[in-house]
Amino acid sequence: MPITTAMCNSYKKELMEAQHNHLLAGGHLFKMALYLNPVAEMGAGTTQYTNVDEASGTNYTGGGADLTNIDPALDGAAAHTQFQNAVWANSSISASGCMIWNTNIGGNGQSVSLHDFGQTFISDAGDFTVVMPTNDGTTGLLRLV
Amino acid sequence: MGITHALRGRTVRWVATDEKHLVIGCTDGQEVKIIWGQDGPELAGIGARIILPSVSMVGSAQRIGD
Repeated sequence: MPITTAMCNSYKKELMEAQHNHLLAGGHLFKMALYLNPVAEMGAGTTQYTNVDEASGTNYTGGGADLTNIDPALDGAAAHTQFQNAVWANSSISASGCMIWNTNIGGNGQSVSLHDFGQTFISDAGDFTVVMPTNDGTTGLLRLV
Repeated sequence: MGITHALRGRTVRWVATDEKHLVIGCTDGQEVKIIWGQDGPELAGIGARIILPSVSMVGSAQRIGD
């Protein structure tokens, strides 16, 4: 089954338990892991980071890339936050989706969200760049609306 | 893989240059990077640029008994 783009249900609960800190200064370390056509369903029901069907290749390290937090903000009634772009420079990778996960909590790290790329993207001695959307209350990566 | 193979079946969206390369961006998000070699243009690498889809938690007011 492919990855289904979703905010993880467990993340919603953990937000209410004050388990995730998205602040740039003093916040948690979030990572982006890439996956290639995972066999198991990955989506809203995913709770933790897994290395099963994780992408691999030149200049890709298991667990994925460290993300730089952007302070949460309000846009009208919508709260939103996201990260700086993730780049695997000069890499050779194939991936069809990604998971954002928090390295600071849970035994294996707790998942935040899953994102389907819509197709398999490749890099071959090139940059694999995941671009964040416009950071506002309408299109920001993680939104409470 | 050569330049022709890298571009086959793709639609070019934009073309740019950096210090050493000609970079061809395609509509499918793949980027083909070309360098001028000893015998002419050579494929230097293939990159990807993905715009991440966002997710949200949606809440709405609901009156008990409605």
